[in-house]
Amino acid sequence: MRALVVCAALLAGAPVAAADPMHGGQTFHYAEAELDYARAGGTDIFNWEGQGWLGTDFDKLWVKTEGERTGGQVEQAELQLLWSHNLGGFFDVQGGVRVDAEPDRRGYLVAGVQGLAPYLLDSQAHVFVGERGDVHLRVRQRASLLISNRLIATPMVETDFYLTDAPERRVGAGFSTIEAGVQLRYEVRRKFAPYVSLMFDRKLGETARLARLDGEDVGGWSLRSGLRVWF
Amino acid sequence: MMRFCLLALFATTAALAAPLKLVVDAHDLEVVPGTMSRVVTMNGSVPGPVLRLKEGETAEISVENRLKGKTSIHWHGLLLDGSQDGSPGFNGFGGIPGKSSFTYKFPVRQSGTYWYHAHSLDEQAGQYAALIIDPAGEDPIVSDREHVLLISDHHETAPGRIFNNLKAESDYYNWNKRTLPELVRDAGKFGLGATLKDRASWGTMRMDPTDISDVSGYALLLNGQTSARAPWLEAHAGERVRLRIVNGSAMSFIDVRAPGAAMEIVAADGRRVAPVRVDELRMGVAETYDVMVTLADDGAVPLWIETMDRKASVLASLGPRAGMAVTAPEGRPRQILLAGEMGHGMDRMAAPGGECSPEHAAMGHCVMEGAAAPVVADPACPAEHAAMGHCVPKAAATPAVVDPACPAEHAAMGHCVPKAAAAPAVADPACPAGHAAMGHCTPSVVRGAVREGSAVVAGGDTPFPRVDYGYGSNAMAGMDHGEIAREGDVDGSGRVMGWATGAPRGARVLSMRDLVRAEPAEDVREPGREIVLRLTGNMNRYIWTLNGKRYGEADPLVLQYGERVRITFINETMMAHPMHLHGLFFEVENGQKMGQMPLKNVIVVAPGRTQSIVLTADEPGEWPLHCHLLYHMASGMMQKLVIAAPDGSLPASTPHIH
Repeated sequence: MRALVVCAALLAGAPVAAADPMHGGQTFHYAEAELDYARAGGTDIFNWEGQGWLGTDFDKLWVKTEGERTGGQVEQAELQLLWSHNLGGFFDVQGGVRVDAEPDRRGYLVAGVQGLAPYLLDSQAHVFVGERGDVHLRVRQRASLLISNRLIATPMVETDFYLTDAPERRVGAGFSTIEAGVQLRYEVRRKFAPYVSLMFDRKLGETARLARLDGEDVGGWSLRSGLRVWF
Repeated sequence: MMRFCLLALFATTAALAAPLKLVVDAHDLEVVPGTMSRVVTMNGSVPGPVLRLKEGETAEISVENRLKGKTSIHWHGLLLDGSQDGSPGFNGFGGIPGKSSFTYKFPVRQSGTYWYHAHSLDEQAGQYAALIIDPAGEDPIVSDREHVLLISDHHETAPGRIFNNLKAESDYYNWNKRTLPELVRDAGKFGLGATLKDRASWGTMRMDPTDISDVSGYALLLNGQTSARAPWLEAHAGERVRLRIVNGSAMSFIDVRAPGAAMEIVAADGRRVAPVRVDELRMGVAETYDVMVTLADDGAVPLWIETMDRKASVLASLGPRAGMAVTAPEGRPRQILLAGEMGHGMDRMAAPGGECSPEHAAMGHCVMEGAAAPVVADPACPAEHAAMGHCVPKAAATPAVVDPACPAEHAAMGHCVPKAAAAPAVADPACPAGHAAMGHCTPSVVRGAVREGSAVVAGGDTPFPRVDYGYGSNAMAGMDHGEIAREGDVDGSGRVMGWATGAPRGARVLSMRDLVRAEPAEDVREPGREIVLRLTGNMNRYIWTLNGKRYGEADPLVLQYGERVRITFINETMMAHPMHLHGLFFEVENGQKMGQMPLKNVIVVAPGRTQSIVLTADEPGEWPLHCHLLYHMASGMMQKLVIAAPDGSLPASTPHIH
């Protein structure tokens, strides 16, 4: 962790003129978690997603995690540790590592951009280079539609595109998964919002074909209910 | 010899006012009835004690900091040596460390209504209070009674946490955003195409037109009291009651009115102005106004103060006895910005330092024509003539503060019932209504008379007149006719569009252009140069800057002693910024002639507008020039303005500039 911060500092380079420690140079933090539950085919499915950062206006250490637990078994679990540098506008460049615990243990190098695109689209695009040579892209878009100032619909889409096969993971080159849907949350307070979401989560292309061969479910619609908190 | 020394000692201390002591400490106080909050107090209270100084004395104020951390006290608006200004990081002052004391000592060189506060986030926590300075001689502002009104915004959340919330989610406190049902209503009013175009325009800018105040959830306090404590201000029929109003809020602009009482503005930011009659005034953060009110009869009148986002208010009664019931007037609509406002005031992008901020670029404003410098020159006085000091402005010779029809002693007896109150603004024959609506008419000064506020002008066919607040070289600001609607119109949900208070037609709302200094200036030289400061920021990341740079990232602005300089603020953001300069007063270029422009230390620059000020650099030192919205300053919206000593030397603490 410390090595990463030092690394980030070196990458950032020594700034020519630094902001005053009390007027722009302060350190801030953010941590957000979403946890939801769905029941499909007699199985309990929990999804989690968390992200947070610690840092200044221009340089932050980001942590991201997401995963799924199905029928008492953790199916997917990943953790990213990224250094994030603001490009001076609405976007950050990010670089770092990702470690997966499930479905198998492996590491990736990560590079990408994250920020706010025109029309207030919360956008992310990252490339992941796996330690076994597999490479994939992940693109994510979210928007907010206000039904009222507290009831907020968030359409979202996230997809993984593999440039290589990842045979141990039963993933084929091309689009491997799509997760799209809409979350409807009620902000009781900014930091406490229960939600329901209708999501379409499915394997695609070669990856879906492999899953069918294995006799596995390729996914589909689910209705989830959960809670978003941040602090 | 001994006797001589004692005498000498006596002589030097004779002008010294009784030493004052302030103790800064943290307490749990019930500021809002029923809720305990952790606050920073001065002498145990929020706000701190009203300090009363006298012009000509030497003030000695010792401050004991009982907090764990560093604090500071800044004397807002005072002319003093930089080392006594109380701004950490300037003039070698490093703040007052925890558990230690600091003694301020400075000669009092002015009079009027001022305030003092921490120059850090502690200000939001309660460390603020009024500072009144009585003139050495007789007060030219004659009143029968006076009240000091310190208005402040109290939050139950600690300032550090508020700041972090804003950095984490910049719209954290905005509960007034436009919704889908409002899109449907707007489509019904303006047509679907125009409405979608408007939404798309804001969407591409990645801004929100409802974001006029960054922080909500405030309780508005009058001298530390909410409406629940029914604050009372004693006033009797016919009395001239001087309200010394200080907007000591951290983040809240306020609209002030007293329906039923005549209001007359007699001073701004501590400096006397030719009296202006108004029905209401909007006060930017950190502004002070002295307002003379007069009740027509023995009934009580409400004094109603609400924040610009209409989320907080305080109601006080003005009347002869405590406990007289008053009712709050109907609240005014919220305002919503017009996308076109963001497109103005930017026609000077080619000016020095005119690089293009991302937010600005997103607005598509980065390729601009260039355009003219603001010319406020008096045609009767050419610049070279002015530079020689040969132009004495003709108008405004000491406008009488008292009503000529009512001599002071008569007024003191309560015999003068002010004619004021009604009389809607008289139309200026030289300025046709259509012209006025565009903000092109500058009211002329009438010698000796109380002037009528002219801020609200006919607004065509819109329900509300547009309010001219913030006057600059760009008179066309907010006049985009390709807009979804015009300023003063309402959107589908009843919000007034543009920079407007929502005052009804015919109401006189104070405008900067109404202010004329009471005594004409001696220095009427045209400025020798212009400094352009773009007010910039990235709302989404909650980063606020000047010329795109946070405090410390840019070289200080250095002025030579005695130099006349124009500073032009170009507001490229969607927030109004109350820009404050320490250490000296500046003249606001408000359309009045050089020499008549009002002296202020805070100038509000409305969203998308341009506003210039002129100053004579006659107070050597390092002076903060910053946005007085607390969290804007804390995020870096500040610059150091250095004035060299008469011998040309710079303060030792000023870094060498390459």
